[in-house]
Amino acid sequence: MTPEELKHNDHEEKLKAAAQAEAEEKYSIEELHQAAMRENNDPEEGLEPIPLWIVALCGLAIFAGGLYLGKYNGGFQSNVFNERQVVFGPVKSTGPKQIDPIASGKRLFTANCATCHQVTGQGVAGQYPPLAGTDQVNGPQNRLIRILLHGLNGPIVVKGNTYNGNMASWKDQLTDQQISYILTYIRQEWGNNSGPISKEAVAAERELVKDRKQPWTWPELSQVAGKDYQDIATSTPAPSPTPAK
Amino acid sequence: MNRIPLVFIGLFCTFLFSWLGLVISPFVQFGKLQPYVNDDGEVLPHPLNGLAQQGELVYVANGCVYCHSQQIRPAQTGSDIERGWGNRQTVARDYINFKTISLGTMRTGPDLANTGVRLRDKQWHYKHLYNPQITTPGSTMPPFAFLFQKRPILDGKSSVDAIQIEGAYAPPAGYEIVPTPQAIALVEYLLSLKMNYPLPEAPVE
Amino acid sequence: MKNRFKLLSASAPSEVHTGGASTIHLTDDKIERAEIDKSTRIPVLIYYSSAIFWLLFGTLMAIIASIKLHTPSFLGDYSFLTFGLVRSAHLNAVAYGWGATAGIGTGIWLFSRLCRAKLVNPILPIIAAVFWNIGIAVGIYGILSGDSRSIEWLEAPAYSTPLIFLSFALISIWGVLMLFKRKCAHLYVSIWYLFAGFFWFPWLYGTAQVMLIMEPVQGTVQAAVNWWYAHNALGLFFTPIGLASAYYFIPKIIGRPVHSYYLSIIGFWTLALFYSWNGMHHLIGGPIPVWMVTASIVASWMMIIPVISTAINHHMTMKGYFELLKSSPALRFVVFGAMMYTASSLQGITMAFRDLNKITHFTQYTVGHAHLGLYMFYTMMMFGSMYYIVPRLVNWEWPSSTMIKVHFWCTALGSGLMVGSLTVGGLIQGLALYDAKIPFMAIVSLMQPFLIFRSISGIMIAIGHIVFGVLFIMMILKVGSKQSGPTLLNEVENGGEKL
Repeated sequence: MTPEELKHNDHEEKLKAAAQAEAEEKYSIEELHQAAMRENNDPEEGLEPIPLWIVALCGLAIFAGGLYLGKYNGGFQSNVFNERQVVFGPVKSTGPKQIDPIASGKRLFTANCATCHQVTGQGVAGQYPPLAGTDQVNGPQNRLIRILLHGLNGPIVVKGNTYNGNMASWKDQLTDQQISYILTYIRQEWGNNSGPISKEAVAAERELVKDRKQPWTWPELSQVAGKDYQDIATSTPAPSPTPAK
Repeated sequence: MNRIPLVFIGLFCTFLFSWLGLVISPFVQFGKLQPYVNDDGEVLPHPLNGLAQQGELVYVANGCVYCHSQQIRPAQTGSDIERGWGNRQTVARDYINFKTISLGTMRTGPDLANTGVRLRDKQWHYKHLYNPQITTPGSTMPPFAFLFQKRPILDGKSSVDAIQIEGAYAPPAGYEIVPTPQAIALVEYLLSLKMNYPLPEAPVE
Repeated sequence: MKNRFKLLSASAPSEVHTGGASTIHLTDDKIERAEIDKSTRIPVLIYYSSAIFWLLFGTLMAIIASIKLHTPSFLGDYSFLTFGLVRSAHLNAVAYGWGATAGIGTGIWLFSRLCRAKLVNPILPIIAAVFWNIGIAVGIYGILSGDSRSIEWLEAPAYSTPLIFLSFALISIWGVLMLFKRKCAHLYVSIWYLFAGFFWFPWLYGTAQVMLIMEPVQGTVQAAVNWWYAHNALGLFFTPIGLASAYYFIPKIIGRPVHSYYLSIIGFWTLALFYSWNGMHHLIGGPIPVWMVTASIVASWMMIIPVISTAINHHMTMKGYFELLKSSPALRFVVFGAMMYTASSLQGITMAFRDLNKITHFTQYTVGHAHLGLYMFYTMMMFGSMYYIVPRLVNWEWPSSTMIKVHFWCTALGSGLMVGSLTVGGLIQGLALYDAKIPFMAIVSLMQPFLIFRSISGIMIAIGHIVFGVLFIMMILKVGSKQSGPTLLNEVENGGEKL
């Protein structure tokens, strides 16, 4: 036999063997999955061209994106966190801002004090004293400033009720200006009608008691002669009250 | 034509580009920041003491970050500063002492970046954690009573550590609520959260 | 095997009388497809069974978390169910438990069909499935029992994650083996997406595990790596699998080619180039260098290119065939998902503008967006894929078109209501947060009705899921009588058997 004939016979043999194997295998048509049988052929790709407006959109997006990245990249530096920061030069100041002391005081109060004294200034019965219409808030400025600076411990009677808690000190957390805004705010809010407290007043009081470390108690503070700072910028310094330690 | 190698190169290069840009570059640029020592000799950010570090683990284990953020955005990007949550934008250096960064993506509760500045009363924190309704009626924060222990008062004298709760949430007569070490550590951690000091890259206006 | 095909078609094309009205003409292609389906049976069914289990578990976690947000005392005594933990369990269960397993199962089937090769080395995906399930289960147990890492998308503790990585490595290896064995020279678009997803995910996951879990990097570099990972898990893993399914099932079911090969190319490569740079848009205003944030904002805008290209491609392919949405369950879920892909991507692009982000960041708006993407796009797409694939694995048809309708309407409406309430509520929350004069507790009260509404919509979604779970079990058990054609939602005049 020729090589081709040999190959052909070989092939025939293989076909016969396959047919036999197939017959032996229980290969009923029902086993074949009907769903796969009836479905459409696998998808192909159509060749529609890209619409021109998509190309235009891409170009526009890349252009706008590039401009934005060029403007707000902070010099690609690792220490620039604010996209509006001027990188190649000193941070420009926009000049002194017009500050409304009452609005500032209210913000500071809401952020720092309202959790205990409440935004309504009513405090929480049995826990935190109110600030509305109280002798302590509407009384001498120096005692009020001292409460803010060092905090208050121990029993205190406010509007006839006794409170026995702990108020933390704020001298390291708030500046004189901030304390003055807060105290000015509370002294005119919720029906209170007492005068403002200046930052110079706070500074002066802070200097007087700068060596004190612990919070005040009310008995101590009530021993301190009350003082209101009126025109402190122009007046001569008032004689210092008996320092209470 | 076998396009697989071409596709693979494309996939590899595009991904490598972002991996280098958003993973490796930050690691190189700000992955080894040192604290800043200011003119008063203060080391900023303040290191966390041991108890606060344990508290950080409690914070992480309880998933606090899923309601609370710990980042202050600049004034043009939100009202964080105006609300009094901080006095400046927080920057990378503020977070170098934390083991797990908990910037957070939800403000179901307020931001906590400066809790140690504005909420320094430990008793408030204990009451708030035990049952937020005590300090903040209407709050949707869950109670963490399981961080506290209810135990009988011995010899009629309540323990120094017991937290003072009056009214509806007070324990039954003869019992007191005492914070567990977990609660104590957590509150220490919360009180250590302060990001209000000026840095060269983050001045305070 | 090839000989057998030749044998069958060497004689006149056989006809099969199915007992129904239509007869099937056997060709090589069809028999090949049937053979391929048979070879994918065990691995894909294992993945699908796992997927449905985790879907139901994740839905339960979701409802508990949702109720806790507006009623914090609900189950409040159990430390392992505290909101931060049950929310993390929900995310891990639905993302890694349901999403990834449904995606891998669908991906394996699609890969085999598109490579026109029987599934090789089935032991690889089977072991991968077992490892994956163990890893997720251990991870979720770890989260609830106090070992959560509290890093979004990466809460699972370190003792569970190597198993996940190993499992996926096996899938990636399997994918490469299939590509070598493939019989078609031309690579259909779905294969590019699947190849991409299977290649990118281990790189993503490995980087995140090393730099966040094993050897955590310093400070806010963690945040950068975290959001690079989390956003890319969405955009470079789930999205490719979802798009691969859409590109296969839409033209397949309606029986015409995809509109434009060139748009597919643009859509794919711009996705690869830009999507991977989006991650820092989760940190706008945050404590990372602003160049990274701006770069991510720009990359987010650039996503308009792949999103529009893909949307045009899908729409123009569907054009003229929208009638079929009434009848084919698979097509209905798939097209719904494809439309939601466009919607959530466009929404995402807008959220990357600083002026909108300053309002929406930190609010329920983001949660709404996440569910628009992962649920209304990806999950519905996976439902559609399963409705098409499962009959081909078990050689049975869905036993009840009414139950399919219940599943569709409960999930479509439920998720629509959920996303709607969170989007509106989130905007209100964001605008209120932006106004510093509004006290925080007032904002908490404002949100209550939206959160309660979300819990109600969640129950609707849960009903849909339970119905789907029952349907799946009915398919495995071959409940009901043998059908000759597909289960359709409404009658079709002709051609219905191809759906």
